[in-house]
Amino acid sequence: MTPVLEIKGLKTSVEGMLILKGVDLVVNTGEVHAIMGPNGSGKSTLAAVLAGREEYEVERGTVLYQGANLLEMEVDERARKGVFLAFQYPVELPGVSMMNFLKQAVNALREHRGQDPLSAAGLLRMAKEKAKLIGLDPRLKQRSVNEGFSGGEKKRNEIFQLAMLEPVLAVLDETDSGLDIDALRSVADGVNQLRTTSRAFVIITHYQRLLNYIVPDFVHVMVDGRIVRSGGKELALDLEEKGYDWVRYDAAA
Amino acid sequence: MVNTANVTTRPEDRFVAEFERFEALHTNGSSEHFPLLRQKALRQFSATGFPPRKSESWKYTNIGSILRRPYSAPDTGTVRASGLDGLGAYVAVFVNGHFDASQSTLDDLPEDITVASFTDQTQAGRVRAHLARYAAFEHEPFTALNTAFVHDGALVHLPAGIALSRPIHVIHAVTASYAALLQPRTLVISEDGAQAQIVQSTEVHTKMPVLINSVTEIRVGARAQLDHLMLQAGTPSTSNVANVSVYQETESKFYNGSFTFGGEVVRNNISILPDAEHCETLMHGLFVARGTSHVDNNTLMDHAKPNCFSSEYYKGILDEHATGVFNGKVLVRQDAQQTNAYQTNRSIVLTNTAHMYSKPALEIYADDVKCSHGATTGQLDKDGLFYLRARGIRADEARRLMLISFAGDIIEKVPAASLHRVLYREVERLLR
Repeated sequence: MTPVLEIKGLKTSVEGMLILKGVDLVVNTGEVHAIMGPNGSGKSTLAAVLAGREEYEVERGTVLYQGANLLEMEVDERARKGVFLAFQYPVELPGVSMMNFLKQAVNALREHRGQDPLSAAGLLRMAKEKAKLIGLDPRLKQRSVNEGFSGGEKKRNEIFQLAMLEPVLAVLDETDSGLDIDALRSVADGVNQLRTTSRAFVIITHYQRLLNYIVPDFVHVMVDGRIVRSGGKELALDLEEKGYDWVRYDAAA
Repeated sequence: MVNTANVTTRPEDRFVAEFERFEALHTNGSSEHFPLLRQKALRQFSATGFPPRKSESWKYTNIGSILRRPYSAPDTGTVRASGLDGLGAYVAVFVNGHFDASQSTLDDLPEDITVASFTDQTQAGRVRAHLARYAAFEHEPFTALNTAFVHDGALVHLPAGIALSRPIHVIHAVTASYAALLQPRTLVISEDGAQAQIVQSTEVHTKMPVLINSVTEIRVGARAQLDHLMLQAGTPSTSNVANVSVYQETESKFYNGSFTFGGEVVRNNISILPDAEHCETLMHGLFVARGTSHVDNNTLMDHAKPNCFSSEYYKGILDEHATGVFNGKVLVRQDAQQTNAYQTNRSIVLTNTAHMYSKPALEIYADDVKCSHGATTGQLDKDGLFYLRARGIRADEARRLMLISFAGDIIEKVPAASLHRVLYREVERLLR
């Protein structure tokens, strides 16, 4: 079986500075992988490279998505083929209405899959259903994308879009940052509803607490641009207890 | 060998010669209402001439090459005006400057409201009483030139207390097989407490060069509420000088929206004078310029009396080799205490070959006022584009979506909701 995502020896730099120093990771369909690490370890850079941010230069290595070279694909092409990034800092788009945005995004995907565009009524029905599933305030659908949304609403909106776009691979970049415990729990509930055997998740987080609610199949610890340790869900608990210095020390040894 | 006599001819002299030809054609007609005014305006124009290249307010707009073309005021012509779909307005159509009753739909206007041609003899007294009262031509050569040629025009009179639910739409269509000089004139008089929306648009039905030099005079009566919209769309060889002069009386509310969607050189001179207390003024504008189009918005918000509010908001999108100018002045005179005046100009420049010159200015002589101004010119927000693309939306579509939203900010604030769709349609056509 072809893995959903296969990263080999990935080295990337930004403005001449090497950030990822050789990352290897294999994600199969239906799996949930958590990537943990201290600030500046390169976790978010990995998410950005997968989504196609141009300011990151790939120096070395390969990234295969469903067996094809992901790094050669345009940003929008990756999304249409089923790669989804939940942003750490969702962008406000004043004047771009949520419904128009969803229409464009959903129909771009449907076109790619050879499906007819969704009617306005069909889209509304779907949005209503998914908003309910995620617990997104339905009134937010009447607004401009992320404009004036609270931190929690923005994060929930990312998960709502995940639900609408039904990706093959979802990368969540610090979705838990800036959330209080209630918001965290409800965002996690949303993600759990979207876990299926035909979808893979890569969850990037600084803290273990999100993983109390979204229980991963695998945990990887990233330090200084490398994955220094991988294990099962219990690795997150060890980290919580011993702190990152523990793996840092380990990595140096 | 070039004919040296032609080379040295001032462009002004050509316009004066055209005036004489035009005058000879029209002196016998009944349209000859204003001989003294016209002669005076002509003398003024001839003496002052067009603004010199180096004058401050024309610094970024070179209209010299446009003015050097030989234009003729067009004869009567026949063309069907396209109008604006879905506006649901009372429509007055002028073709080549002449009122065309057959294309106008004014019959079901409420009885007291007048929308008429200047040539309507029953309105002669009213026109004579107000014409050139609000748009002074002494220091405005383009207004002087327009005034010299006045023979027909649109008069809108709104009696006290009426509230019109459908807009009034004045269309000026031009068709000619030669370079044409069209000089629309519009006079809007609203009495106390009247409420209405007035839309003006120009239509160019020829590929020949056209110079449109329009003057619109508006008096907003006490407690009246008037919305005025100006739509400019033209061929790449259409140039437009639009002069709008507004006079506001006590507690009146006035909205001006200027929308420019093409043209070779476009210059809007918009000047609003709230000459009494407790007036409110909104001055909005939007342009989309492509090719080598040049669009210059030159505005004056003249606060003369205390306790007034004004907000000016102009946006522009510049693509390809287009240039844009915003020259906005808010003047707060010494008497105008407690003025609240705001001014914002935002532009998006899409290419390295497009340029925007923005010069917002506050000139304040009163000491107890709240005023602010600001200008930003930049490219499309890269993070926004990335966000849209990360959701599968193609790069060109993402760009279009963001530009339409940028423009939508001005469109959504247009008080006449029936115009939103019309304006979006124009913007979408230009951004395709």
